[in-house]
Amino acid sequence: MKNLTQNDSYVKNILLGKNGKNSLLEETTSILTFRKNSKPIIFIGSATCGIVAGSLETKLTLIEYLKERQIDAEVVEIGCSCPCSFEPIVEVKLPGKNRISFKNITSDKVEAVLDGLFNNDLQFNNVIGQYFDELHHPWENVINISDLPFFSAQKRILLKNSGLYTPENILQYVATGGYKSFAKCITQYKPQDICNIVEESQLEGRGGGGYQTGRKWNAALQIAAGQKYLICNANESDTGSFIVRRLIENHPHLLIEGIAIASFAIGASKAYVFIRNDYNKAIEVLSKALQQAKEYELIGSNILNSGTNFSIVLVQSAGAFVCGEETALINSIAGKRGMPSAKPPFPVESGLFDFPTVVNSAETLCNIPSIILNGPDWFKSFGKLNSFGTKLISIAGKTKTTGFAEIEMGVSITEVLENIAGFESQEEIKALQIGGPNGSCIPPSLFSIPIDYQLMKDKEIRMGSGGIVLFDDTTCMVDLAKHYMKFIKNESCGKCIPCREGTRKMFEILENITISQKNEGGHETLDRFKGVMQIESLANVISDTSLCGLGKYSPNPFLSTLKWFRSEYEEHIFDRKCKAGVCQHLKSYYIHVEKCTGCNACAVRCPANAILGNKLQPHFILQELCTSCGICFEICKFSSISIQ
Amino acid sequence: MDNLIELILLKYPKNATENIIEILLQIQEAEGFISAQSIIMLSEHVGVQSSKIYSVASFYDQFVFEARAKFIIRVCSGTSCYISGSDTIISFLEKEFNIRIGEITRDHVFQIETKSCLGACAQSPVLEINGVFYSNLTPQRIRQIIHQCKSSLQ
Ligand SMILES: Cc1cc2nc3c(=O)[nH]c(=O)nc-3n(C[C@H](O)[C@H](O)[C@H](O)COP(=O)(O)O)c2cc1C
Ligand code: SF4
Ligand code: FES
Repeated sequence: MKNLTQNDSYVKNILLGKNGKNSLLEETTSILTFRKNSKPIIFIGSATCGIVAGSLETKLTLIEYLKERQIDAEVVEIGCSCPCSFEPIVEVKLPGKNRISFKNITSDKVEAVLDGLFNNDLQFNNVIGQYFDELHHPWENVINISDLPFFSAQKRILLKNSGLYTPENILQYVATGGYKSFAKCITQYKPQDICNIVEESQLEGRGGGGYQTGRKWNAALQIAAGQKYLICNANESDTGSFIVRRLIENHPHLLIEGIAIASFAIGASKAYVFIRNDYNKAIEVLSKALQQAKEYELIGSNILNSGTNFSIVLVQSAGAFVCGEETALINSIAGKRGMPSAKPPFPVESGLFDFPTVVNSAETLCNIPSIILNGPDWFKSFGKLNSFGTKLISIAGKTKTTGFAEIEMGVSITEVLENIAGFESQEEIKALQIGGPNGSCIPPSLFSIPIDYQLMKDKEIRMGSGGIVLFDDTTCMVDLAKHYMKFIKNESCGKCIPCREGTRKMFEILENITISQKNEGGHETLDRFKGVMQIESLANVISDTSLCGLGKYSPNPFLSTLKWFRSEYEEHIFDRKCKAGVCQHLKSYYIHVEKCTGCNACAVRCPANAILGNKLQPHFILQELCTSCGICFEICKFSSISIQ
Repeated sequence: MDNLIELILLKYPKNATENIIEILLQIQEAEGFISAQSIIMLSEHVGVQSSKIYSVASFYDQFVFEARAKFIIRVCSGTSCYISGSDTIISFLEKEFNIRIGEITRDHVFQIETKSCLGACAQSPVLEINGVFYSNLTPQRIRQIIHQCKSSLQ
């Protein structure tokens, strides 16, 4: 890299557009974006998904490989291109050739794959595809990466450069059009213009509430105050979602730019990013990016000589789910207990330290730069139904392809499952949950529903943050509801009694359904049945009287599973069976007489003394005493115990 | 230890309450837990009563007020990991160390905890030990990871 002063003038020249046609600038841009390289470049995916899959070891092996063979190549860390199950991803750009991408390159595969590559003998089973580029020679018989369904089914606007560059590298961000929008705002627009553009775009908040961003900004702008704040909500604590994490790990500068524009638009000179402290990689990447933005004077005082001053502070959250709620978040930043406060007053009127405050989710803010640059009509050209633009989703659970994707609003869940998650048929899918514990469980009969805020709301589905978890027939829906209830019960801040006590009660009732007392009379079944009826009415009370969304939507996992999987509840309550074989207490254990050798090991270990039999004779289990603990099943060396 | 805390405090302006949680996080990282002494020092630095600081800190599950083990094994019990078998991993660890969730081994080396979601759901089930993630958790692999931790102590 050249020294800072030269780079600095590169950034200023590009952003302030005084360059006209300047061959030196163009040359620098080509090098920065890897369109021109004189020696091989090897890229390695280094976002969390890559690291978990082993990319650090892969990188070490790569460097060792190059050293041993004295190959002069550059090794560059990139974010991730988002089919997480392909990690560790390694990509190679040989001079004059298209960039080519390989999947699942754990350290043991490095040698074979690179040997093949350098000797023109590709290991096709590891190839994902190549990036086509009119300047370079293509690889033969290698698919264009953008033709893969995973990519072609997406509309990548926010993620357009995912996995291509080093996330925190500001020069690469600027070389690919970054910070242009911010420069345009502070040199050409008044705050009012920006609020209007965003309001016209009808961008809906992506944090789950779906409130229109432009309206919120306009409200904040109209209030006269000595100090205003913008807060980026990156708390993301709903289980099963990793959207914000991936977004920040891949696009820290996009977020900084969005925050900078938003702050300018509402007249805030200070912004906070509230990020989960467990997200160490995201924090590291964002801190580096912030440092670079400061060095290049895109944050600080008199930015680009426009007279604008602005700073960003990164605040680590202590990871409570409720702190994602905006008033709780504000209390937490102010150094108080992270409990929600009653609204009104809304944060826009009186928020952090009692000053007007706008809270926006990280995804919302990342939408801003392209809206400003291309205009509201451009933004509204995306979206097939009521909602405009795109939505980020994450896919996890029982699926072949896990990943992170950006889809056009209005695309149906079926399309997501087929193209992005790679399901040929949906038979294997039992259900999916969207939006975490406060979201909804969706059965296959509703998979045709489009991802659209209004339409989903009409069907009483909460999209939440957009994290999707898939379930197959090894998941018990009653147990799943119990799992979510346990999470919510633990995360309730305790301020409202219906939420605190109600969620605990709901959990207990669900637990009661999934355990069994031996020697039950008839009334236990009746109690369980009454319990479920009780939850239905309890749910209404909790929803009506809770202060924040956590309590309000807390019955969702229970109500939605009950609605769509009622038969499973009935099976648990009346037949005392768990088809999925998950509920430990509802299992019955039997000994196969033919297989049992009478070794006596199980009888000795059974805590309930429920196993009888003489030594070297087949044993049997007394069902009335058995507590279904499963110890005998685990210790039997002859597999003579079966579960029913 | 006091010096360490002083160094942390020096990085933050006096009387600014917006840093309380971040400072607590840093103290916990340096000391392993939040000691009474560190709360008193923090309270003087930010100008907030120590009882208030304690009340804030105790709100967040993240903060602990007693010494902890060298290696804190956090098994993800978030939805994606839960349905992919995190329970089996927890009971394996409980047996392996002969302790229950939340407890510390007698030599103060290991401690098992659960976390609702570690944000690495794409590779479920996962666990994290002192900031490092692990996936593909077969019993052999878990034993190998534990072994690695132990040998890093020597
Ligand atoms: C319990 C609870 C948790 C929430 N967690 C988050 C979160 O992690 N991230 C987020 O952006 N919004 C979260 N929200 C929504 C925020 O309160 C707020 O509506 C949002 O940050 C506003 O930003 P947006 O308009 O850009 O969506 C949560 C709300 C509730 C009730
Ligand atoms: S609804 Fe629950 S989480 Fe929300 S403020 Fe009330 S008690 Fe706290
Ligand atoms: S559910 Fe385990 S990392 Fe998210």
